[in-house]
Amino acid sequence: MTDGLTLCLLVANHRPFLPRAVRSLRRTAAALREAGIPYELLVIDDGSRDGSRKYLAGLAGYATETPFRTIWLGHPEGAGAVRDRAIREAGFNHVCFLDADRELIPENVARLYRAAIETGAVVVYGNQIVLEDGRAVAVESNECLHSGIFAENRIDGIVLIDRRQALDAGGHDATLGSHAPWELVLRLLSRKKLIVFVPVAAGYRDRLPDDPEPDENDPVIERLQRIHDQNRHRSESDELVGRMYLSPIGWIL
Amino acid sequence: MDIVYSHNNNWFFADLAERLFHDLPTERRARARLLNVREFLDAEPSDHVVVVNWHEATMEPSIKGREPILRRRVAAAARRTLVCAECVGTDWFQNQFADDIEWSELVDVGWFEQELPSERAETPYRFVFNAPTRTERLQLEAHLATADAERPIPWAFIASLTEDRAGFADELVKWDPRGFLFLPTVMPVRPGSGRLEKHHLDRILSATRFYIWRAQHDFAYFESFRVLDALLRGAFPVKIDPLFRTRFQETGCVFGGLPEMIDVFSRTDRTEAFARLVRLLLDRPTLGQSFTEVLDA
Repeated sequence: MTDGLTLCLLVANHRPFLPRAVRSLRRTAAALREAGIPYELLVIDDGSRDGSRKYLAGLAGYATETPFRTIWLGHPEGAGAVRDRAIREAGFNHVCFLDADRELIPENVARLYRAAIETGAVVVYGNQIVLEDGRAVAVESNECLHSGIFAENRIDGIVLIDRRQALDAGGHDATLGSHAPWELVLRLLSRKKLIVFVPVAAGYRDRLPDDPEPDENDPVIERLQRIHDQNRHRSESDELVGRMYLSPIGWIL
Repeated sequence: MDIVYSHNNNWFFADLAERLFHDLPTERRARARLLNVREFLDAEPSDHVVVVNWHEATMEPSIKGREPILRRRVAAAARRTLVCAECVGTDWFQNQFADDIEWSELVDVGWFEQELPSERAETPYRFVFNAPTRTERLQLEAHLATADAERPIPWAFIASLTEDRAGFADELVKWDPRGFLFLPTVMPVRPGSGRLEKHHLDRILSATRFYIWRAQHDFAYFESFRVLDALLRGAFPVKIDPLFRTRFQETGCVFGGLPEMIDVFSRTDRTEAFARLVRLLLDRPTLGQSFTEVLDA
């Protein structure tokens, strides 16, 4: 497995967002090309029924410098299964995930990649700016991981993963649906793996009126808390469990 | 004279206490003590106590349970000086008076004098210009020679997260996406907290062109400490303050908005602006000199 970056677009009934996501992916590809970083574009559609497939299939007809490699799943398998499929199918050792309702900031993806290479981190992430009606209202994934991660997920959306290390740890648990990325982070932390925050803007997410609120009584959340946060000791210890790095400064925290 | 500070809370107050102490004239320093709150409680009382940020001192984790003793010790001193660098009008300023200690004087450290609210009008107000110390003067002079060196990070925006700041971060990213963006949730900047301490900030600003922040409330306040943090590492400080830009115009580093700042620096050389600001500071007496004059007045 050679060094380089698989840019992976995850689509699940995201038709209205696709033009923006694809544009962002192509601009990111151009930035990686300019930075001399080998890359590929991988699209995984998780059984969309809203016209996303038609749109993506239509793109195949356009000649671009970097064509998409597309995987169509016959029926929805959920976020965990899709991400796991992505890291198994990726042609490069590092995979940058982009949910199709997000947008990458092309200039900074190379910096996430460099941070991953220079630190050996298994997960690297940067700030995600949250938009409401086109206006920035919040920033997520905005700091080093604290032990509060054992109580709730603090890393959203755009992350870059070292697939070899992630697979060594067992990859995503396909049975956990949208909680799978969080569970993988918890499992990696318990194995003392390095998770690094890069203090640059990595991308954008739209906050929509029908976005689901976190359900505190979700049995999956309770189960993960029981496994990783026994008696809430860990989440309440306020311990720093991640680090901060930015090339060319190096380690910051 | 004892200069007292909290050593396990926000580092900038400990840093101010150290700067005040180490920049005192030699003979004065020989008669003074720099004590963290715990050391102060364990030391023999002195007749003059200078507390750098009373609220932080009372919140010092290592004296938990001994806060009433601290209050009695400070209240019993013949002279009680409160050193403060807070914006008058904010809760952080009001918190300084939470324990009804009768302060002999309030020493406000900054670049612009502030007017005390009417309920504090009886507290004698003294102002100390937050100029560089003797040691910092040497650092600034060295930067004058190297200010045009290449810096890989175009801007740094570091503050606790608010909705307004998220909006400003977006503006900055649209201007140049390669900046340093750190907007963590609010919590004390304690060692090991995952917040940036002085040595972290120094490393970041040493690689940064513009250290930018934005006014966060409707009070006229100028963050002189951020200016010094920037200049001491060769970064140019920029405050965006749409409401009070004209009041702070003389500094040359306050702008009404990001477009205005971008426009100014498309026509003005950053190195020249840096040198002008540094010379303005080098013309001032040092922090320790000004502090001593105020104490002796």
